[in-house]
Amino acid sequence: MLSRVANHTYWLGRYLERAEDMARAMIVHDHMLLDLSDVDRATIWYQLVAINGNEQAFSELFDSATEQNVMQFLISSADNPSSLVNTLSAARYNLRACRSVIPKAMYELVNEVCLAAADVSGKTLTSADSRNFLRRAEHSLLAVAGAANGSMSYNKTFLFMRIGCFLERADMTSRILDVRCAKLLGNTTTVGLTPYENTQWIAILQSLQAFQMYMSEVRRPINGPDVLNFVLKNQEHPKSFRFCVQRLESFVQRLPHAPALHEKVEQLINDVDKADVLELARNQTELHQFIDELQISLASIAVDINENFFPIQEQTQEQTQ
Amino acid sequence: MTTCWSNYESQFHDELLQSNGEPRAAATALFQYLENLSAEELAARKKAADLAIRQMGITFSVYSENGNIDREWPFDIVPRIIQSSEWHSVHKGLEQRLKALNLFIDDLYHEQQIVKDSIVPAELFETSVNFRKQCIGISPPHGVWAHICGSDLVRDIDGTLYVLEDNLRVPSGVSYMLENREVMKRTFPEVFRDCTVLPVNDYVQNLRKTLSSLSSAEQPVICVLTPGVFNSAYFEHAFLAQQLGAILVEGTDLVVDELDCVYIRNVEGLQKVDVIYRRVDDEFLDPEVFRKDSTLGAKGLIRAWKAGNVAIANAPGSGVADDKVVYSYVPDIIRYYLNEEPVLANVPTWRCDDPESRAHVLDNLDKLVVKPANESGGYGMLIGPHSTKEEQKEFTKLINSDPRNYIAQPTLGLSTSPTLTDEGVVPRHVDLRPFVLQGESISVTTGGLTRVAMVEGSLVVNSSQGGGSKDTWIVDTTDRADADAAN
Repeated sequence: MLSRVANHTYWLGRYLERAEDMARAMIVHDHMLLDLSDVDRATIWYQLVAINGNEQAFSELFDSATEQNVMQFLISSADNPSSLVNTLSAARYNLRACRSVIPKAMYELVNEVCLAAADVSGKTLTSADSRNFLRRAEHSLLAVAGAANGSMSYNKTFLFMRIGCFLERADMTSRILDVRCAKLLGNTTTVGLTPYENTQWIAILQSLQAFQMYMSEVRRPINGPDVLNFVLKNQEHPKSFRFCVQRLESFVQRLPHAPALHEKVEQLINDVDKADVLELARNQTELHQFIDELQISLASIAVDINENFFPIQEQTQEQTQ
Repeated sequence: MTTCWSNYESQFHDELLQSNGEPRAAATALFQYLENLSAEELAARKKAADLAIRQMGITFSVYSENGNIDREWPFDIVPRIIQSSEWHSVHKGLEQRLKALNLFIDDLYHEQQIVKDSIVPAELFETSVNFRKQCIGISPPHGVWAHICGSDLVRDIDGTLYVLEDNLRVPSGVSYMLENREVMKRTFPEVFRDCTVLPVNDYVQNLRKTLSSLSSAEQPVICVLTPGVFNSAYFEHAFLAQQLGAILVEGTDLVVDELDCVYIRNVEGLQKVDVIYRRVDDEFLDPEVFRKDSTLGAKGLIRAWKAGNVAIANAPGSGVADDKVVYSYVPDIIRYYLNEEPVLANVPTWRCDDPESRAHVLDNLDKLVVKPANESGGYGMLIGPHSTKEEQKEFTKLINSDPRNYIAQPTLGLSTSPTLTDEGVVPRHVDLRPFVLQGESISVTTGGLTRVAMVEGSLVVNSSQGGGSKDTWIVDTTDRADADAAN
């Protein structure tokens, strides 16, 4: 597989995953708020901006984190580099460049969702418009994943796309934990929470499509340490941090020899395994610090992949995170 | 009920209707089907086709001052139909033409016997901008230089099909021919049941076969070399690579080693390439030999080709026959090499470097079509009857300053085909670009790409200048007639 094309499929995988995860985080957040009547609405929407990781850009564009402002910032804003329309536009740019190796069915699905995004770019959306758009985007992106899984050979093209996907997903899982847990920690009971806390822990799981699987596996009422444990360390759920890194490890093994990279991925798995979840659940600062370290490791793995497999002239500006 | 055909009337030969307004035999089933569709239904189908094109990402790019713009491929939902019996002879004529042209190119780069025998003058290639001295003496596999040829056919007012030009450099359009059929199947699935439309999709297999025949490897590694994502035909390059199972590469992906072998830069390291289907012009192929500033090709490519370590399709230098002055000699070229009469007619052509012809052309600029010898895309032409006095004056100057570079032809009454516009179904002028492949063996597309001038009265069909396209049906009516006779 051409290095140049590998780079584009890798970024296609990243951007598609980013779009899907952000869309879902917004949908779940919106739903969660319908259950939380007494929440502080002035700050709660800001959580999404924090997950998106563009607080700076947001503060330059808006005075307050109202639903309207946050949704616009995250969906249709042309000025937020990580808005859905910009993420999907970047996905489409990469799709075009690696079109010849992408199955037709998958191409059409990606193209469709990107075009739908381009249609709302820069527009002010009503709540109903936003919800419709997010639902459609989520469904289309799920279909994209299906088309990829069902019609691509498990060759290098697929491998690089999946590497992009799982790196992005691991990163997103860690961000969701970091932001969402902030206000919830401190209560390490495993026997019962207030409905308010319950709803928010459930939202974390739902953002990661993990609620059902958590319930059937943990078989205990929702509680902080168990959720944290599941999201960080579960070895079977595709959105858990451990699972994502585990997949990365198996992908990296199939790539041409890159010992330093391989070592980094293994080290990251070790770090997750060694983590004391009870302790982290007790102490928010410690959790934040731990997640910071995970994210630094992910970034360093991404740098290694870049340097090992992609041609130098391809490090274009569009490709910066 | 007024049907879409109610007011249809063409002043020219029409591809679907006879002069009495009745459909031609091959178009009868389609005609009946469309007659039963209301204007609203027809508009809805048009919308569905446009949506399909958008979703499938069938685009072409237009160069503009603000960078390149990706446009959706313009498509008209009313197909153009050719009876299979007529196609049979066109097919033979196209094969004959490409065979002769390849013998001609091979001769030019070797003995130049045709010049010695005074069939064509030596100036013809000596003054051709597409004759490449670097290619003299090279013998590509099977003696074939132009492996992929797109010839433009037009039909005059009396119904005769003429070859208008042969595109032997990097002809494009075949992906649109294939995708037009896909769109048509999505939009009008039911109509295919009643019309015996011959399939077009064997083209890709034939192309693969043609390219493979240029290499001795059993499973050759084939690359499609594109100038990149901003090229106007990038869609086609990506499409063909995908369909062929070839690797779509840019110049920077290629590297030629000191043993004159060509490789691509893979994740795993270098991989050897056997065949390059290049969609980059000669001049940009290799900075070592041609333009030194080119970044679209690869240093050493021509070295590798000359050494026989990589095949290039079309071979460098084959554009010498893609010249409108050479075109005027094609009937003689066919007679000379094949000892056969041409099956397909040439449009009568005046060469401006001949003083007598030039005088005739200059006297009749208001009636003739004047074309530069080496432009493509319909640029730099004068269409006499549609031109102003100033334009004619300008062309007088151009022709006098560089007569070798101009030819003139009578203005043909290009045939029309029913086309859906905002005013309903109306006649619009069409041409046809079939694609001919030659490697070890030779093949022709079933039909080709029909291009249509969307503006009333216009003869300009190029998509870069507002032209559209149609699905082209080769319809077999013999079965139907036999069945009718049996009943």
